[in-house]
Amino acid sequence: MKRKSQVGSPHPLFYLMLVLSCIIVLVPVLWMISTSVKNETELFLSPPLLWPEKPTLAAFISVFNDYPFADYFKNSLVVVIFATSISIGFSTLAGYGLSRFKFRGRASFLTFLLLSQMFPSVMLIIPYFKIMRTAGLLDSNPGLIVTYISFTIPFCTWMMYGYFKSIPKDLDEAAALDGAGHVRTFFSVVLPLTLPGIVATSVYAFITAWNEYLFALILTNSEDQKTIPIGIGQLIGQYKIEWNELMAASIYSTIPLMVLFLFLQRYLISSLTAGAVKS
Amino acid sequence: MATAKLDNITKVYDNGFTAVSNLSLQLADGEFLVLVGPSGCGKSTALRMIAGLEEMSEGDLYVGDRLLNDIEPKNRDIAMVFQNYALYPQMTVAQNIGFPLKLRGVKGTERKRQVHHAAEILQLTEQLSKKPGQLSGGQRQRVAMGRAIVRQPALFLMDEPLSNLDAKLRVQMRADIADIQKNLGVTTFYVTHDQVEAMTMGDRVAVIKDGLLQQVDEPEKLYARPENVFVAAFMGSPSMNLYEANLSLHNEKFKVHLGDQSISIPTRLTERHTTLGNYDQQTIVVGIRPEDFEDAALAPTHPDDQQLTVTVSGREALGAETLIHFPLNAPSIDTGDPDALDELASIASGRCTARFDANSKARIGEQIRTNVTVENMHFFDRETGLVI
Amino acid sequence: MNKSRKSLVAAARSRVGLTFVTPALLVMLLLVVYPLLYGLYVSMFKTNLLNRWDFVGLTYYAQSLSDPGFLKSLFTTSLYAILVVAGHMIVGTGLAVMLVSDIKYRVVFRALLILPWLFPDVVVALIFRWIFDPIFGLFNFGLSAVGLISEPVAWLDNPFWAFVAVVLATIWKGYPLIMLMVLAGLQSIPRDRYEAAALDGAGRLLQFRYVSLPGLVAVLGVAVVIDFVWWFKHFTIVWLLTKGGPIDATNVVSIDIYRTAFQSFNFGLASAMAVIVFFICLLFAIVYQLMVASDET
Repeated sequence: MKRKSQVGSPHPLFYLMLVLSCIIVLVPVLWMISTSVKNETELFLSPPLLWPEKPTLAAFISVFNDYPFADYFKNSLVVVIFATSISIGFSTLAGYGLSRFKFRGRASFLTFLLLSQMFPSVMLIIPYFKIMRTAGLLDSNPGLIVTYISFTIPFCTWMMYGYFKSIPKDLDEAAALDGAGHVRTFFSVVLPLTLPGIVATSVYAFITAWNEYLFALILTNSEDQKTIPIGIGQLIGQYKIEWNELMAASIYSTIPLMVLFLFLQRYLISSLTAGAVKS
Repeated sequence: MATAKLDNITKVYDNGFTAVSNLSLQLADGEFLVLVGPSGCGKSTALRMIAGLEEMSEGDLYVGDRLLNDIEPKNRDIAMVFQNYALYPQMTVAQNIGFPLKLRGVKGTERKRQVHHAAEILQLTEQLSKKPGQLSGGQRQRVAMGRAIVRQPALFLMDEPLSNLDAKLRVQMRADIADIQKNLGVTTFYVTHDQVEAMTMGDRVAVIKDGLLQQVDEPEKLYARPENVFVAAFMGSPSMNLYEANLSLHNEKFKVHLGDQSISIPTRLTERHTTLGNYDQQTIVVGIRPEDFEDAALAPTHPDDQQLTVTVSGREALGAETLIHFPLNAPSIDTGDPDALDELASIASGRCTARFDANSKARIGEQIRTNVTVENMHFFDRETGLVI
Repeated sequence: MNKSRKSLVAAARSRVGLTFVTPALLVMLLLVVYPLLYGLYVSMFKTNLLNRWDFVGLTYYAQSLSDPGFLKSLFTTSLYAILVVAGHMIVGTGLAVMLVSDIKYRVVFRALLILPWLFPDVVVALIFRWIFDPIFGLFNFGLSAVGLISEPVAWLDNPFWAFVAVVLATIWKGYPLIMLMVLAGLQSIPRDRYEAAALDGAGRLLQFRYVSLPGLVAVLGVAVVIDFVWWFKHFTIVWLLTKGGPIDATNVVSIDIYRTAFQSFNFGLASAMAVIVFFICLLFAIVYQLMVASDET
């Protein structure tokens, strides 16, 4: 990322515009934080207070008491972690197979992977509703896990395929001549080199699944099976909206993504670089 | 250690392109054979077929008495040094070198001993705990060698191992690899596009072009007795000067008419060109190596009728010698070497290169006389390109 | 024997390759292909998905294509997607161009500007709904503070402004991805090309026009198609901000289908509508494929 491609110093206006952009980004975020630490009286003041006079973390505690937020959180974690792990496992294998071997249907499979990104999820939702009901997986974590695997696998496979392609085939060949079989080559030689790719792909899968709303909305029903997005989303349907609790819940649901991004941003951005430049 | 035999090996790709056709070669036990040719001539494909990384379309491959056609690469007992080394980036030097041993079930302490032994040979002992990313190009090259030699394979394959090194290091590694190969005595098949590497390293050199084997011989013989125009032009730098010329025979002397000048050669000096007499009054191709020219001013006793009068158009003083360029008014030859674009251009302009002694006073624009060592002249059939 | 030898080795390798791919392939067949086909099947039935399956053929397709409501929702969706994509491209490219220059605090700016991408759709929708709240919202407070309005405006209850709000919220949420893609594209353009242009006398604008843009065409083209398809199918932000209202003003096609299926329980009609959307997206997918293909040659 050290490489810079624009000659000359930046235009003075750049700073102004960047600062303005950051304000536009930050205002909603700060408003969310400010709201979450208000008490109920300060919440409904008009004109609103930019920052509460008596900040309180009460909302952060009451979401757990007033709503089954712990259940939502648990469900989200279970569903997302299982779906991500299975997706990554399968798509890593598939990416290696696609990048290293020729077989019938390989090209069609790759095309289908790309095309499947174009399918509207609304098209899948009615079949999924019916299939999950028939399979008895409606309103259950496994039902959501299966669903999330279905839409993370295509893009994870595509990303992993890209990573494997970027690793020279010479290494596989060297390993073969050194006496390694296919499985050994995969695990000892190639897989360790794709770790950054696996990390980045996992984060994408994690974010996608963590944010998913529509399928969870239709495939879950009882409170103890809902995920965070559904839990938060339905707070708004109530007669009196407790915005401080809502914003506290929003912060809870965003924190895992922020943490992931903070620790892994190097991998994520370089993986985007790879993808963007290649395609 | 073993002999190796390539028997009519052919590679035809799915799109119908023939990369290698009917390649037959035999390597003696412990021999260093260099396969040399311009880019895209099929030499790497040939190597990869021996390794088993590419399937052979036809033909048989033996190492020792073992037919390898259907054997997977990992079971061939062949080691290969790749052009870009193909070191495992996540492993240390020791782990890289030890990897083939590990796969063969060599246990810890014994493996360590053998890795250290290989590292000593290659002067890598200091580097053993580093990763490939921390090494210089030359060191990486050695690690790649180490991974190959540590397991004492039946056959070494090397795919342009020096092409990623800078010029100075290349010269040194050339000698080092040749030394190591001699000491270990492993039969080696080495592929390069660099004729200097071929000449200096190989026990024998096989020249290949467009997938077809041109000539296999010891380096000196290949240089002195090229069997066709391509080999003549490809081996040696600067290249052999090749021109069309008319031949006539008078009084036991051949007269070679190069444009408006001619050179006389007593027939006794052309005895190895047994059929040259058949080309009386015909157009042939003559080849003169740059070193077979000399400034007449430095060797005034040379016979007059073995000289050319030329006008110097270029001069490169190299210290130990001086290269002189001059136009020759005779049609030049396309040797079919795709890499020799600049040389081709110089040939097209009819430019001839001579290697004079450093004492030569010849200057650009001067008209000078140059001697020709006629007994070293080469003669080829104009149609077939084969030596006469 | 040579022939059989060749095919034997190739067959062995192809078997290994297939083995690696099989788990993912099975998942795709079972969880993507089968449901897609099943959706196609449902679209030809009048059904409650339980015990009633009356075959109606292509009736629902004819019905939806002649239904002004559905056509209007397609139009609304297209407009929404076009505006959103245009917003993403302008904001994303603009910010990327600024970020790629030798600007100070680059890392800080980049980290802040990526933030919206990390917020779940649900959260984005809720934040904006709260900001646009007529009485307690920040937006009206800001506008009245600078004297632009005197009375609180119920933005989300006005068909025009609700649509604008939905588009703005979506632009806010989605531009970082485009920004990162363009940033990567810009960084892949070798610096010496700018130096050459500068020596040739090109200023900042001309450099952008003759060096950056040509280098970005491929990235931008792909980004436009992916982004368009992505937001064309979008549901969550719109649903949570406006529920498709007021009076259908933000009734994008995903909401239309959701309502038809899970509020009117007309699964067949909803499936037919979904299939139509699928073909629209497929059209774009084909455009995308062609672009990728021409890019690789």
